[in-house]
Amino acid sequence: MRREQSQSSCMTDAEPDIISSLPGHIIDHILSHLSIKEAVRTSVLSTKWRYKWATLPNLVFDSQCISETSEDLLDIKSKLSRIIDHVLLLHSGPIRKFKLSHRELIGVTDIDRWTLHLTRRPVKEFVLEIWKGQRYKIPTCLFSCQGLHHLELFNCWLKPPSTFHGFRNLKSLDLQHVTLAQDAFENLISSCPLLERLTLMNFDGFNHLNIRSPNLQFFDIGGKFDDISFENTSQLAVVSIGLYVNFESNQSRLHGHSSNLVEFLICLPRIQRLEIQSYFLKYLAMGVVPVKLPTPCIDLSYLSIRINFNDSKEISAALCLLRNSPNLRELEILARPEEQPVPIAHHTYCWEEVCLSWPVMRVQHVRIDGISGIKPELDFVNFLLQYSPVLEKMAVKPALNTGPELVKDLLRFRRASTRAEVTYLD
Amino acid sequence: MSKTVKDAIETIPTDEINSISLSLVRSEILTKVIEYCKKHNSAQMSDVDLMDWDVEFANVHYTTLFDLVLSANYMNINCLLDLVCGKIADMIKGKTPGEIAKLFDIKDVSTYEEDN
Repeated sequence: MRREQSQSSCMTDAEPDIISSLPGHIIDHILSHLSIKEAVRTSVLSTKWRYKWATLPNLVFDSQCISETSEDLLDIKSKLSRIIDHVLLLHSGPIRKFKLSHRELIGVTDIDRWTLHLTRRPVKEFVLEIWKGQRYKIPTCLFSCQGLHHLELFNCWLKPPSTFHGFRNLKSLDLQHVTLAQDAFENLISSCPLLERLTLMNFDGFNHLNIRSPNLQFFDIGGKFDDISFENTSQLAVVSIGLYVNFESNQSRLHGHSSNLVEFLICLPRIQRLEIQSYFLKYLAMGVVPVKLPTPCIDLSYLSIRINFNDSKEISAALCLLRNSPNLRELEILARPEEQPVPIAHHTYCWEEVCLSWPVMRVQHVRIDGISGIKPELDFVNFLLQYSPVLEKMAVKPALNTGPELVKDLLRFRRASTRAEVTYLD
Repeated sequence: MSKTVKDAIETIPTDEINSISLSLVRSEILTKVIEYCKKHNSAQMSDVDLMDWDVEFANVHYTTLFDLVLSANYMNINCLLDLVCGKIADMIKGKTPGEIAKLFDIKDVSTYEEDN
C-alpha cells in the first residue's frame, strides 16, 4: 500500500510539529482522555501517529465505540466485534485495564476469545458488563489470571474450576447480578488474601454469607440472604448492608441468645461508616438486644439506618447502636414503609428507661426521611433533639401525603442544642 | 508538589543546597508552574473555585500547553500533568483528523485509512 506524501511537504526536512514529538507516555496520557474510537482515529494524522495509540494502557469499549445509528442489531454486533478484534490485535505493550460494556453485546464465543487474549497480556483490571440476556458464563481462563487487581462483573455466572485457588493479587471485587455456588463463593472470598474492597449486589446461588477476609476495608452488599457473619475482618471500616427480603422473624430461633447485632459488631471493631438498609435492621434486632455492647464502636462516625418505627425491637437495636457509638457525628434515619398495615405496637416504647442513663451524644448532623408523624416517629425525633447538645443541623423530609401536623409537632420539641437548625424539606 | 524537586531535596545534604538545577524548564514556563503550585497549595479556594481557576489557567495557546506538559512531566507534578493532558485531549475531541492536523500543524498527513 503506497502512502502519498502531500504536495506541500517539501517541508519533510523541517522541524516536526511539537505534539508529534512529545514522549510516548505523555501521548498515552492525552489519548487516555479520549474514547477508544477517537484515540484510534489519531492513527491517520500522520505516519508518525500510525501506532501512537497502540500503547494505550486502558481499553474501554462502551457505547461511545459505535455511532448509534438505526442499524440493525446484527450489524452493530459485528461492527463492535471487528473493532475489538482490530484493537486487540494491533495493541502493543501491557494492557492495564479492559472494560467491555455495551448494550448490544455480542455472542458468547467472542468474549471468551478476548478474555483468553487478555489473560496473556496480563490485564490488571477487568470489567465486563452484560446488559441483557441470561447470565454470561465466565470462561475458565479468567480464573488463572493472577495479575488481576480489580475484577468487576455484571450479569455473569461464575463457576471456578477445581484448580482455582484464588486471585493472589486481587484488591477489589465487584459482583452484581451474578450466580455463584455457595462453596465457590466462600472459596473465592477467603482465597484472595489482599482483598480490600468487596461489592456484592443481587446475587443468587448462595444464601449464607461468611466473610473471611483479613485486609477487607470496604464492604457493600445488597441482596437476599439468610445470615451473615464475619471472621477475621478487623480492618473493615466502611460497611453497607441491605437485606432485600422481609423474612418472617422466627423469634424462637434466637430466644435467649444474644442478638445478631452483638455478633455483627464484635467482628467490626474499627468500623467508621455503617449503612443498614432495607430489612437488615430487622435481622440485627433478632435475639436479645442489649443495652450496652461488650465494646463500644469508638470509630463509628457515620450511621445510616432504614427502620420500621412500628417495630419496638428495631427501635431497641437502633438505640443500642446510638448509645454505644460515642463518636458518632452524622446520623441518617430512613423510615421503612411497610406494605401491609402493621398492627399498632402492643406497648408503646418505654422511653423513660432509655432516658434515665443516656450518655452524651455528639451527633452534629441528622437527616430523617419518610416519616409521617406517627407517635413512635415523633418520640424518636423528640429524643434526638433533647439528647444532642452539639447538634447543628437536622433535616426532616416527610413521606408523601403527610399533613401539616408534623411540622407543628416538630416545632414544639425542646432542643438541647441552641445552635440546632431544623429544616423541613417538602 | 513536584516529585523531582522533592527527590532532589531529599538526596542532596541540606547545607549544600543553594539552587536546584531545572535545566530543561524555560523561565516563563517555570513562572506559570510556580503559579499553579502556589494556588493549589494555598488551600484558600474551594474545590469548585479551584476547578474554575484551573480551566482559566489552561486556557492558553497550545504551544504553551505543550511546554507545560513537558515541564510537569520533568518536574513530576501529577495533577498539573493531568490538567494539561486533559486540556489537550479536549482540543482533539470531536474533530476530524484533518481538523486536528490543521490545529497542531501536523504535516505529512497519511492517506492510509484505518478501518474504524
